[in-house]
Amino acid sequence: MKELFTNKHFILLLVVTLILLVMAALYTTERESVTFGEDLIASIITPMQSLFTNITDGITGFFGYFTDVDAIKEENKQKTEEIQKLKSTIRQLEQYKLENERLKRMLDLRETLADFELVGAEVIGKDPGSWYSSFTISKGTSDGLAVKQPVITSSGLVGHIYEIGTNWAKVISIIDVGSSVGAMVVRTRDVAVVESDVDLQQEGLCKLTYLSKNASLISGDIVETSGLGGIYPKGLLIGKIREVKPETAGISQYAIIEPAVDFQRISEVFVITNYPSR
Amino acid sequence: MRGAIYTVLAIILCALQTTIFEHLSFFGTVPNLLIGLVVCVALTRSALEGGAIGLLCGIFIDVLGRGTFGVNALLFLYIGVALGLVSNKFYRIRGLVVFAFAFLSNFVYAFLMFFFKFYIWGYGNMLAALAKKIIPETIYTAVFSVLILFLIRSINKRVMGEEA
Repeated sequence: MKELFTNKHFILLLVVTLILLVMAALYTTERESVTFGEDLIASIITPMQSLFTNITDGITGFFGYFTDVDAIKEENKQKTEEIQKLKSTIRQLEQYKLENERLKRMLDLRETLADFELVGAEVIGKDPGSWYSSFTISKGTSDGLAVKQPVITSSGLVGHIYEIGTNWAKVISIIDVGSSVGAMVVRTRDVAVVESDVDLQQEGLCKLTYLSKNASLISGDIVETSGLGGIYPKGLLIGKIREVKPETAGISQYAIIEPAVDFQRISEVFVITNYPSR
Repeated sequence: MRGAIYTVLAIILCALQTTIFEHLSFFGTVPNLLIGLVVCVALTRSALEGGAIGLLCGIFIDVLGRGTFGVNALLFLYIGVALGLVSNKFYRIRGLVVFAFAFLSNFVYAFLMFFFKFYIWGYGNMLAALAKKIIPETIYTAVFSVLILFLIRSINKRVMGEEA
């Protein structure tokens, strides 16, 4: 035993273990900023992630031309016919558009996203561990981003920034086990919370929890953010309900949600930089 | 020199794991290339080098991923040290030995992560996690670990002029 404690390698192992345990304890809580060391390591790896992501996109696009030739020919024929029909529809729609714009102005209806300042960013890398659904984006504090800012795509809500460096930021998605989003069912106005678990996360789904037993939800109901919780503004599309199930205890129910965003193919996002207002 | 090469290799494998391999998933899982690197270095070198590369790779995962900082660093450090200690029991490190230890290491690592981070808090089903996540990922990791072994042997031979 004495020999063990005089072995310099064993002492080194103990010291490193102790340092890591202290760091783990210190960094367990949510942080506003990362340390210099973390920023440095991430700044070294993220350009390489960016490079590999660009290479992958290039390769995927190149082989796509060859694998889909037959499908493209057939599609081309259909599209030509479709274009003719669409041209006449466009003329009709342009009339509707003008009328719609006039009515909008009359009602003083504002588009939801018009109030937001958006910064576009590329997804450059996924979480190296297999248990979380988070990813790294190509913008950081130097682009005006900050922790807790909501992240969206044109399809709907993605998540929010939980850690940030100079030229990178980590985003926790709404299907991550640690995520929690205040939500509302548009049709019934029921307020609930969108969460996930390991099984649902792997399928790219999440669930609407804390629903009253009396809530009459149906498949296809649209779910959007409620604005409660302070991170996400009200009215961002989350997804639609796939099925409603009773909780094990039977006093409440939950619904499985298909998110509007396809998290497997997400490549570009927008960060809302003026929410939450500071 | 060797340390610098292993560090660059760790950075490249980390970047590959989080980018290109997301498009090459096997049953929805991505191989843990960094654990493969730790297993190969620990088995072909020593407990000290295995521990050092384990610590470095663990820190990379902690920095780039989500979760408590230090957890991956500790687990990878111990995997590196443990495999370095058993490496001298083998006359020659063959692909099959690396496959077996990579399988064992990734299984233990993934199981511990799932059990302590999710299962005990009620965020997942053990059988589903084993069938859909842990076992496919472990097989995928073990296969790629053998390829990493060949890569390391090639580097040792060409760059450092060693007999593999």
